[in-house]
Amino acid sequence: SGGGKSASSDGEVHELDFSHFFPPTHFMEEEIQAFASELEEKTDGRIKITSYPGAALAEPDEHFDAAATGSVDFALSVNGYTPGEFPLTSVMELPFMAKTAVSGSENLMKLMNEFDEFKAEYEGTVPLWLYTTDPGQLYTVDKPVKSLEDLKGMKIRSPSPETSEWLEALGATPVSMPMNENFEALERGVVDGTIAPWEAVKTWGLDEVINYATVGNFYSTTMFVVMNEEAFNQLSEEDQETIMDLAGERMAKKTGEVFDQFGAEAIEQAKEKGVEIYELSDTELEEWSEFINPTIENWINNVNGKGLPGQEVYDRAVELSGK
Amino acid sequence: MSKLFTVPEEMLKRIEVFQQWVANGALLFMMAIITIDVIGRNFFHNPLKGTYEMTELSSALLVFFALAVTHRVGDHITIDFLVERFSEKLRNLILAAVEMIISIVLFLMATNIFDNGLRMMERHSTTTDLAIPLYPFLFLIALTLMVFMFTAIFKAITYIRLVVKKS
Amino acid sequence: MSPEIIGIIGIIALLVLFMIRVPVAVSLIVIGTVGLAAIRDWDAAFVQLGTTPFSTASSYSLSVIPLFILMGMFLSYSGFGRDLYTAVDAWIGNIKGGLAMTTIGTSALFSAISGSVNATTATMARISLPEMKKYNYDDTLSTSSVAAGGTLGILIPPSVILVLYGILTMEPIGKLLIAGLVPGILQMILFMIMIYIIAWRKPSLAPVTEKKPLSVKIKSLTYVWPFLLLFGLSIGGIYYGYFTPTEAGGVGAFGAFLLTVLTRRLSFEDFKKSLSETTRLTASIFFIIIGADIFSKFLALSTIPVKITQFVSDLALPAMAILALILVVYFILGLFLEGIAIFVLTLPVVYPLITMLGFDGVWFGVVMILVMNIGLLTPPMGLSVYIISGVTNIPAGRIFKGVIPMLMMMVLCLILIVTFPDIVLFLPELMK
Ligand code: NA
Ligand code: NA
Repeated sequence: SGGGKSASSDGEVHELDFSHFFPPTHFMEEEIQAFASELEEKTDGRIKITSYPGAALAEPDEHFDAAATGSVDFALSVNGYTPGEFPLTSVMELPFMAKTAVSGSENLMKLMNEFDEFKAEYEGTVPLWLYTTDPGQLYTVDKPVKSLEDLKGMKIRSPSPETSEWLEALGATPVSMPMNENFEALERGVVDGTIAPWEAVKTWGLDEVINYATVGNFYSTTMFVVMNEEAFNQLSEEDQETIMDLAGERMAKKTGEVFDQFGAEAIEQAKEKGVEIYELSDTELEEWSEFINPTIENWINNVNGKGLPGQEVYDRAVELSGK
Repeated sequence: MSKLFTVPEEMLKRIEVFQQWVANGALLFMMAIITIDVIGRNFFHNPLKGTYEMTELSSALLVFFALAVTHRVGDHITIDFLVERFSEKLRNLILAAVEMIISIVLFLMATNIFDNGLRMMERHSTTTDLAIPLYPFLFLIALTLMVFMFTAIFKAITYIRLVVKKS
Repeated sequence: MSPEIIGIIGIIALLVLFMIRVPVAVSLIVIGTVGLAAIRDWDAAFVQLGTTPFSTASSYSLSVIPLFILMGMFLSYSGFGRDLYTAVDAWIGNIKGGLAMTTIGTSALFSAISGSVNATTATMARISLPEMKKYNYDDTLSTSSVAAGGTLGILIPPSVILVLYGILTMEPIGKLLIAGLVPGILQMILFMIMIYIIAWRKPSLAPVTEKKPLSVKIKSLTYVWPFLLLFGLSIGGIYYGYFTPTEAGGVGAFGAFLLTVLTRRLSFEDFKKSLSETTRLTASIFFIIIGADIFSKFLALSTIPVKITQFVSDLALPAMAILALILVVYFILGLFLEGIAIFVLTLPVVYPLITMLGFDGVWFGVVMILVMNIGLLTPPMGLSVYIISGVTNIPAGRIFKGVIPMLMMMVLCLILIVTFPDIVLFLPELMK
């Protein structure tokens, strides 16, 4: 498609649309704008990107499809919004995979480059870069969670089925609900806590209602930035190279840094608002792991069962995480 | 009326009645699972797994299975302040044309939703908590839209017959 | 052709389709799809046609709509709705417009719980309109009180759309949620005043009944308890955190079902009718929302919303003039777009400007909602009016005419809040 003006060859201007679900005021919109202007500059104005934030062009869970089918040229969204479509990418959603967004993002890119099956999950598109947010922590309203005992019986909003599984194993009650109801649910006590990255705590204003945070790096939200293959192929080889140079590991790292920085600011802000932060020690985490490990085994078996190298990808991800 | 018209139309009506039942069932199902989930979560530490996504799927089934019969009874909302002033013949002609527009739109919707279902099948797209495959739902929805399309076509034929009969 | 021109042609074509009696939903889908194709290409348009219907119909926040409607159907078919209005008539039937005022109040309560304008409007239309008809209330007065009452719920907390505003602007969500309360109540009182004025100027529109003795009044309360019980259950359940406002729909419908069955007031025949009417009404509402979603993606690509807000913000005018122009733009966008779409498309331009001009961000969120509520009651995209038309078979045009006095009250409320920002701000400022 290529936004109408496509034909082929050099010298031609390609006006391309970039769609994502983040609010237009979110820092990721700035990152996309920065990427767009760098690209425009490096291609001497041959590639012009218009960003459409706030899911104006496609619903959040339609973004991969939108890019694959050429409904949009670039798409950024959360892998977890379309469960089942990215079984290997979801390795990063398992607990303890990354301590920062940068390391999570870098490792995600390495995994994609090392495993063909991993890359195949993005077939029909050109994957530009993958990244993670800062890791998900546990936040509670009325009482701090410092031990397994504290967590028992608590209703916790969970971001994924894997998280729900181990929360249940730990004696908590996992609750699924859309993020836009989370604030109200925490305030009213529909849930006692939630698992989310610090980034989301600030973005959704959750620090107004939560009082305690338990840091254990329980989860990483992964996101993709992909380009429609046809739109990509219509670019000159030189411009294709420019895109790949600008994107890839460079952008993964850059995006990770922005999330880490925003996460750090979110922590500062939360502290100012009186949120008490408790970091689980290695010994405590080991205790938690006993209940969490079966979930990891289930994930591996499940992915292996699909004929995919679940075990290998998991082992490599752990190795990269430096545990 | 010729059998060519009445027999298939009778069948269509039966399918619509059946679909209405499915839609009603989806509605009751939503009511039941939300109630069970709320009670389970608050009083038994035991929420109903997948309530969130089952509610979403039921909602979609409810809507699409009820679309055709809603059209049959004329419940789809229109703004009528021009056509009602025309002569009966012109009015029926316009209404026939409108039904044709509706059926074209529904045909395109149905085929594209079916294509979307095929993509979801290839990509193994599922729900979050229960990992229910999504493509069968899209196929079903495409089917209900085809039924809706036929309802519109039969309405168009009815209007055209009125025009022909009167002249 | 530039996207803006295509956008304008699309809007005109939409009005033409409406006029030749193409269903509202189908008109929106046709123009949205052809428009997307004109700006991008047919492939892109067809992908939208293949994905949006399912993702909209399976949206969790919308799924509350049928459940609240079902609750209303149960109450209506079981005769509890009739009993409620009998009681209202017994107590305040001698007051001019009393029944319509009660409808506004009940709608406010109902939409505060459901948080959904659509669910409230459909439910209240089903419960109250037949009853008001029995008391010889004029159609335009009764439908406009339902339409107006339904809009109160996105001001009165909890309001999902104010949460969204908070996320887009980083304004504190807790303050935003509480900020809507006083304006919501003010708006409700203004609606009631307007009803009184109408009933006073033209008594035939809202006939009063004679004053009833106390014994009749007391007796009339016998069957009001199901409403009190359900409202108590819903508000209590939300307030004490047993369920979310969305879940309140499911619990409320189940509660109404139990009540009507246990009191043996719902025959199996009426039970089936309740279900079928609910699903058909839901189908017609969702069909329009699906169309509106596709249409708004087309309008987003046309860049019209961004261009006009950009244009206004670039004008070198005094703060109040800019604000007035912005509100006019929002009013115009509200004619064609739904609230969330307007927020997302325009706030990045408008919000920084508004705060730079020295206006309060929390206050502006409430102001925006007031303006967008006006759009719910105006053609061509007046979803509330279409829903009432769908429930009652009263032509939409007639309802649009009837709500004009209510629109005047909404404008008045807006003027009051712009003039006295403290109406919005004093409550949030009490919070630490
Ligand atoms: Na509300
Ligand atoms: Na409107």
